[in-house]
Amino acid sequence: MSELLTQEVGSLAKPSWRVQPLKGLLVTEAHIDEARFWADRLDLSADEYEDALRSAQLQLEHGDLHPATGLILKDLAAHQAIRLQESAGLDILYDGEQDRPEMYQDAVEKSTGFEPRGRLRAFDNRSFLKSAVVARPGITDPWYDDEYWRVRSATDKAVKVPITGAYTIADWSFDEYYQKQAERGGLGLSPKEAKRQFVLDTADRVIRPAIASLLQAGAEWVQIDEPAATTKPDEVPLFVEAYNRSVAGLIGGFSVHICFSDYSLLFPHVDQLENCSQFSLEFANRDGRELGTDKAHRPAYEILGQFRDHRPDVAIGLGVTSVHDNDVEFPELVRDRVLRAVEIVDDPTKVFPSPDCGLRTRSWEIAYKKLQATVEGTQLAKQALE
Amino acid sequence: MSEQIESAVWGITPWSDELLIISGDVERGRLEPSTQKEQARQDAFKAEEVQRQAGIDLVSADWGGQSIDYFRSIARAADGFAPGVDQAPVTRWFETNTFYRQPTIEDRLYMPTQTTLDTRAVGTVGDLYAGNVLLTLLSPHAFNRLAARGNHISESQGAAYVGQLYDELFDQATKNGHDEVLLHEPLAAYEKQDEPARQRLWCQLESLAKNHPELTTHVYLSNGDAGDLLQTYTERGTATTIPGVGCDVTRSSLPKVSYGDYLCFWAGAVDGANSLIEADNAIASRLRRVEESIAGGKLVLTHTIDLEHLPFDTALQKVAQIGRLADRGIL
Repeated sequence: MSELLTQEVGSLAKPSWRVQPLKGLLVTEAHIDEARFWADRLDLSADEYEDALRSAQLQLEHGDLHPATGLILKDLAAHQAIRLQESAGLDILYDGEQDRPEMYQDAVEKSTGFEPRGRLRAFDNRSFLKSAVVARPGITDPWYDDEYWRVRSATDKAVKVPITGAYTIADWSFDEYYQKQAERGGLGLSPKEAKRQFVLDTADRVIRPAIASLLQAGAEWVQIDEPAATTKPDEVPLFVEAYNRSVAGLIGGFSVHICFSDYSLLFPHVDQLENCSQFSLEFANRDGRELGTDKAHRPAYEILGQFRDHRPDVAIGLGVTSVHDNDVEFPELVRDRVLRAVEIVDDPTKVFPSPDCGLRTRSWEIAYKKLQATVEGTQLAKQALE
Repeated sequence: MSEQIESAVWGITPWSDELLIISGDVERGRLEPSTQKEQARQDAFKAEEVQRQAGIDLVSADWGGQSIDYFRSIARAADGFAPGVDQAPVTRWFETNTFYRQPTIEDRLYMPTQTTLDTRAVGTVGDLYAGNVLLTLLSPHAFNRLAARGNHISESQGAAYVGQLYDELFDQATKNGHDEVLLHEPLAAYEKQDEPARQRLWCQLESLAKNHPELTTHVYLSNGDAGDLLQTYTERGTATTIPGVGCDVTRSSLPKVSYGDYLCFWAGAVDGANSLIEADNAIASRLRRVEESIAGGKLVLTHTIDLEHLPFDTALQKVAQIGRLADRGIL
């Protein structure tokens, strides 16, 4: 088994030249310059990008963007995102979720049973469109099969498909259905049972079918994103139950991503997690910046001991670069974080260096440098371990 | 308890969808900051209009894009925090999907000379709400505990530094024209503090209030069962310098107490966490429970937690409901 494979976690920002025309706003020369700049930098055809944007420019000056042109722009953005990750040197990648507005919004918009209620701040000036569940949720079409095929055909690297988990979808939604049913006695449920029913319905009727379809399409590795897993300490077992229901009986590789959370709350519940090959976790956000591989310098990584003790069979997706600041980590800092983790986990094949989370809140310039630092720091760690 | 019910809106308020989108675009360099300012003014005026029509007695100073979280503007303005709060660790706010940047207390905290903290909503430029604009601050206890502290700063040292800073913030609030301030304490009930800790908390808050008799200080306890905290508060009797106290009554056991006519109780009875607009009679039954437990004083109807956890338009619907129910004398 390979040691210290590097991976992305999910999203990248969408370039302005993709966002603005798809909003119906005019294409500017700055957009074209930006698209050409990154195409050149990533060894893609800059002319192809300019041609597409010139078409969009013309269409928008005389009316609306043609749907076919919109699809081309989305496709081109996804190809740049894939190429950016390849160029940075990652071993495992996806397309930066270029077709998804945001991890939660995308999931509920692709599901039935939800209605948007309005935007809420998550942090800083980052917000998401929060929905309410108004009926039992479900899906009518596959979610990400086409997306997966586009990535698969664009790279020889290993591909990991992210999908938002059932617990997070339920926890981030207003409940205008299950609680109401419970109050009316329609389902005969207590409020706690109503929440459980919502989560498990989402696992059974939304996430599991979406994953099954992806596996059918050829995906080998699905990352279930559950940033809400520890939000409510007494519901961590429910997150575990939902994960298990989401992958029950499916043949494939599965991992879970949990970030900005109190990881101590996961224990001992994750002992019950089934069919999970990796915990992808955020650490850089809470770690110091001084060099060093001892406990005092790397306090954030101490919790890895509990993961090792409880689940020695599960690998660690190791957050080594912060996604919420613009200070690009020195490779030596990444190296020290990786070495600290390897010392605790005691098996370099079980450590996958990565950013803390998706890099969508950073510019491409910063994201690219952070991914490069992830790769370069990992190389330094490999050298140190030899 | 008095039959007259007052109404109040406190805490961090939501931004409109437009303002949230614009602020993100400004941060990405896609729009000019002036666009955000204009939208913030529109938000503030809309909120003012709703609060005025609803007859809200104490309106929030926060509408109009004032706060990102409880810490940011203070940590930016004051000296003594580690530099770069905008890049500080992203930290979950209790059991929500809302996060704050955790500032680090590194030294004595103070406001540099000439620095002022803008504490009034962008829209309240006129005299529309002169005298009844409520400023909410995180309680100094929660501020100290939820911030990080440098290695050499103990918890008690941090508490002393935060206390000194809050003295300055209260002075500024007075200069900015506020008559009333609400200290939001989200931690004590969540942690289920023991009696000595509860006594220390009330001592700390009363001491701050005592130093600033020009401001009427209220305390609101969220995030858990506040029954024991209310009991401790009540037992302090007339010695308290905090005339207003309240809690999320949907989560709290309420001690049977007499508050005396000089106190008021803030009943967090309108759900600030869910989008559903509740039936009037559900809210009335919560208030009746309050009335059965708490004798004497004035009753203030309000929401259970900060309205920032609701979309802007939904929050305004709840504000309108609070005003209507209080005006109508729901009991």
